[in-house]
Amino acid sequence: MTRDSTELQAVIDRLVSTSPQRWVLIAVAVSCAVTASAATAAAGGSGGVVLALVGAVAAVAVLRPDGHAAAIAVAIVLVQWSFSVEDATTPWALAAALALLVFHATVSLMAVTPITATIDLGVLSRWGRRVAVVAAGTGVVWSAVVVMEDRQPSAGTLLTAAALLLLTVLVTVARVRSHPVEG
Amino acid sequence: MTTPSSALSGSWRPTVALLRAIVVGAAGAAVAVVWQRPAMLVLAAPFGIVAAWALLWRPGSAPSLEEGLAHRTVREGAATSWRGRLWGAPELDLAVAVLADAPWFDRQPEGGAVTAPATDGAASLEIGVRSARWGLRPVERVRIVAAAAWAGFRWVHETPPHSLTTLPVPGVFDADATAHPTDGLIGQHRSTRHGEGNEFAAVRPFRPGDRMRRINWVRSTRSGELQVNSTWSDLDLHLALVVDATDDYGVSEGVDGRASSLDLTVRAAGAIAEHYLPLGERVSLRVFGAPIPMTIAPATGNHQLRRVLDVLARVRTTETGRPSARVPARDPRVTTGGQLTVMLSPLVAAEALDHAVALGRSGLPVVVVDTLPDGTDLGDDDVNTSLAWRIRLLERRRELRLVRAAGIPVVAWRGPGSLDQVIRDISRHATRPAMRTRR
Repeated sequence: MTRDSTELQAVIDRLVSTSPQRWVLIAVAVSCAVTASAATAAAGGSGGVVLALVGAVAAVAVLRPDGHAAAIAVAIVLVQWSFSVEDATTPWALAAALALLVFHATVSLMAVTPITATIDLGVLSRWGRRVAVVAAGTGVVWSAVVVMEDRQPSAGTLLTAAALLLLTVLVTVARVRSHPVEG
Repeated sequence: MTTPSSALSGSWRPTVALLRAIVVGAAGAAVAVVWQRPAMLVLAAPFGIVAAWALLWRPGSAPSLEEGLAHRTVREGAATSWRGRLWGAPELDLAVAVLADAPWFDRQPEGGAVTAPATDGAASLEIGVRSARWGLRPVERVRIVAAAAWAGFRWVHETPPHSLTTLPVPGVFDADATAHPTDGLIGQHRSTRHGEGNEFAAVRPFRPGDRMRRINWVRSTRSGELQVNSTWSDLDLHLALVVDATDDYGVSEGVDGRASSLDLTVRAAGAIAEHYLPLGERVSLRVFGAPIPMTIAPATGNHQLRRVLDVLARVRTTETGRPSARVPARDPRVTTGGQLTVMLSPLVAAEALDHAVALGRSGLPVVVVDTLPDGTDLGDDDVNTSLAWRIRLLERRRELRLVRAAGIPVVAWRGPGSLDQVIRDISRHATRPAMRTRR
């Protein structure tokens, strides 16, 4: 048996041993990444090639969830948005943000579980609740952006600075609260 | 049988997921500020919230782990489980355990991976392990992954392998024939040991395995606990099992599939021991041809049965070359007067046939059980090997005729009743004068 055929056999074994639930997670992650890119295109951005590129990178990300491909897929969507969408209050922003959130959560969960695992329903429901909480927070941010843009077009900058300040405060609190990591 | 795992390796490490959340959240906010694009803040908001959440619930101390197999010994085809419990890390969110695949072990779930949500900083994990073949084998290492909120931090640990003894499932065996009682019995059919019999010995508390009809209801009512009438064993036989571990022929597919010669040998030996020991008979065991000769002195009872099965589970063939020391025909540690020797062997190696003849010539009643599986063929792929194997089988047939001509019965292992006719013949011959060959 040659090296190539051995590697091919290993890939086939890997595919066969993948749990049905894992296939569902893979489908959810890839479709969410593509949905985010499609939402960007719908908001006025470029589609087609970028959509295919995001789909391909997302496919690599779900095959190696512990790698950086997922970050690249998200970065492509952000760059796509920043270069092609001018409307700050479009609801497509919320749709793209939620799709990216589900993509990130799914890939993160896949990174800590093996491909053969069937994830406990308790874990899935807990992660589902958390995603809902973060989605609600994202909705609040989007609503705030819409409100501020409607009242004063230049207020968006102020809001952005306030959000950045909030993030800095959160990170500082986290550093103060956390313990030194062992090792 | 879980034990605390000392000197846990590893510590909580930030994950790629956390790095992604921080970078995307910070970069998105920065782009929103620098390029005056508030919508970018919406896209980056979930990542920022997730990063803040994961950092706020950053774990401080490594969890403690208790893990191990529920049982150290199982029967072939029976299942036990690996259990692990993580605790002591309040930020623990999710625990994952993965048991690596190993020959002769089936895992439940099939992929060998389980996940569990943590509650109050503790999580319990369980993976079923089914042993499909007898033997002493380690259950592979278990990789345990603990994750904090949003899988932002990860702790990884690998357990040491755990040894699991799989006792052979004795093949179905029964024998109606009785061998002659040992010399020196008191009375015609009574031994000096308790066991299955007719003559009353004593009243004693009920033990698992006692028959219902032995319960003494009058005494049980008076004493308030179950009492049984124990009896003296009717027969007192020393059955010497001699197991040939010189080689293993045929294909072994575990308890659910085809059996190799060593499978048949070990399971047959276990079946015979399990049949005779509860009857109060004495059984000894000697394994030859193995890298390490193994011997158990004759004794009776459930402890002896456990010892026999334990040794059978450790039987290995000599993988390279022949065993250095020649096995003596009689071992003084397991040779007593009036013993019946049952030798179990595929009878392919010359040593096994020599051994059988030597036992017969020493004056002991010997039964040879042929454990070569039907249709065994070693040369499926190679014409020369196939031819050599067929020649060896022809030689073997001739050698078996010679062994039978020497007065040693050879029977194929067929389960229940395999030894009945032979034991009857031996009992009949035992009453006649015998001439032993002196060396």
